[in-house]
Amino acid sequence: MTDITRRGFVAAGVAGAALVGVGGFGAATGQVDRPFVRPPGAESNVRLAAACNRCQRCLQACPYGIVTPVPLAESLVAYGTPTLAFEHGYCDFCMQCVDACPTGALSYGGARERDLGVAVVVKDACVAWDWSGCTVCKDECPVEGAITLDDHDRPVVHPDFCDGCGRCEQVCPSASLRAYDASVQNKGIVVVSRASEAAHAVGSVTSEELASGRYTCASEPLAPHTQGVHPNGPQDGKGAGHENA
Amino acid sequence: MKTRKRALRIVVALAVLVVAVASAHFGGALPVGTLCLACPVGFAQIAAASQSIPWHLLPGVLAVLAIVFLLGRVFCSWVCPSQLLKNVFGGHTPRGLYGRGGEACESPSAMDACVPATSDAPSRKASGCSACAKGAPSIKTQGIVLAVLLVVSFAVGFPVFCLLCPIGLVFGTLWALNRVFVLLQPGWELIVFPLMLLAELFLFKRWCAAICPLGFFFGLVEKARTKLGFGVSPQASCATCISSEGCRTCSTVCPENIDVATADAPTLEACTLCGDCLENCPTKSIKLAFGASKNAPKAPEAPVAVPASDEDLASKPE
Repeated sequence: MTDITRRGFVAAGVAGAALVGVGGFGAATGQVDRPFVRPPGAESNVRLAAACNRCQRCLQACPYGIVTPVPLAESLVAYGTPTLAFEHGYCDFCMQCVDACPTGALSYGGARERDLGVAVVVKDACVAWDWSGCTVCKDECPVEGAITLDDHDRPVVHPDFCDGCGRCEQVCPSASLRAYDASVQNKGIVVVSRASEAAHAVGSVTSEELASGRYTCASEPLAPHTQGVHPNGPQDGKGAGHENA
Repeated sequence: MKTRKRALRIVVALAVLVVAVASAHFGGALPVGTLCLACPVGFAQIAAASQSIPWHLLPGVLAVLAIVFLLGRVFCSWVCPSQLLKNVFGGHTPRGLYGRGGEACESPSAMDACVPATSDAPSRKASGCSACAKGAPSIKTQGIVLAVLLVVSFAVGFPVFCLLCPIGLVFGTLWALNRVFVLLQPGWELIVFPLMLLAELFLFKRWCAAICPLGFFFGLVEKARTKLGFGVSPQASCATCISSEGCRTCSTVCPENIDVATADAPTLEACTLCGDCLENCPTKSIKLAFGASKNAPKAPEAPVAVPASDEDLASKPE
């Protein structure tokens, strides 16, 4: 066996230093538990970042095209792990992403199997806060009782029922109704992770509160929903899960 | 130099990328995954980071290692997106894993299997040297990189090498492009990842040879392969090979500088089965053969008539 050449040793040293640097930066900035809205079956952000090999099979498996990799700008550590974007669709818990996951980062069982997050109303973006009449999110919500209207006909989310499927965020018309004002959040209702600070807001949040609390980890995650029944999935209802499949 | 095989390699490697991206737009009908699905390094990293073994990855990983055992580093030249970038942007003679612009080699090869002992053929010069193309020096540094990345992944709790891996960076760039077209959200990846690729593959030329931890796994399998005398490799037939007349075509066109006419099994560990030697051999003496290289000193064969332009052919690029 030949000895290690000097150039080879330097190359390995530089690569090793880069690995330690990237790892150290990730650990020092505490990005590991940054709360993103994850596909079904993600136990926690920490577990997902550790177990996901960024193969993007869940992205390919999603029939609605809502799974998307976390961008580099939002987290170095979680880069490439799956998050959900509800621009073009919402989750009906078809579980094809979980079936596709080869590493067990998304898996059946556990409290978060059918719990993506919770919707929060953004009061300066939500149209119903200024003018009554818009009830699109309540009308479209597939879970009975997850969104109700208060005395002023404004939407109120009930975290016990909401499973974070994203239908409300997808259909919220606020962006087009408020196209004249670029300063507000473009959706009047958005889904956030239950582990985030914003999930703990009572009632509704402002755009600033959402911006600061959306990806900040709360000391204690909000408990999973216990009552909502999501009727659209192939396997009806919460907890029906894989036992039936 | 004929480049049809290279064009074919570019097509094959591109097809892998196209299938992966297209798969994201089939509405979930065909989740094929990416190359990360069968990555031995990813398997080890996830085991270290999550402290649990991802058993479902194991079949893919073993399949890749089985392919290496059978065909050698065929992944490196035919599938790896890094080599694709080198083939596309690496100029006329893209650099291989070890050779062509790697270590300068001083010692001419002493072992010329096809050269009669009494032959007055010109001695093999640096270009035809096979001793410097051996994979042995790199497996140690690749092992060091692998050890470091496993320790760091374990310590920080996420697969850290995935952020630097050129294969991952190519796919990352594609997903970022996908994001631009699907969500209309451009990301920093589109600038950062191509720059990292440029640095790793074109400035940091020893990436494949000295760093790639995938190469560590491949190297181990190659060693087992050499020991057992197993697998497919290019071998020159002494009956028609004209290396004794001074032909250097195979080593000149080989991206790893392997002199196929004389190469023994350890030298062929660096072979990526790219097929350039098969395509360019002026007498079509090189064939893919199964089993250990038969190169060992043997009785001289009758010299075959040589086309006069042969040596020119070897030195001219095209």
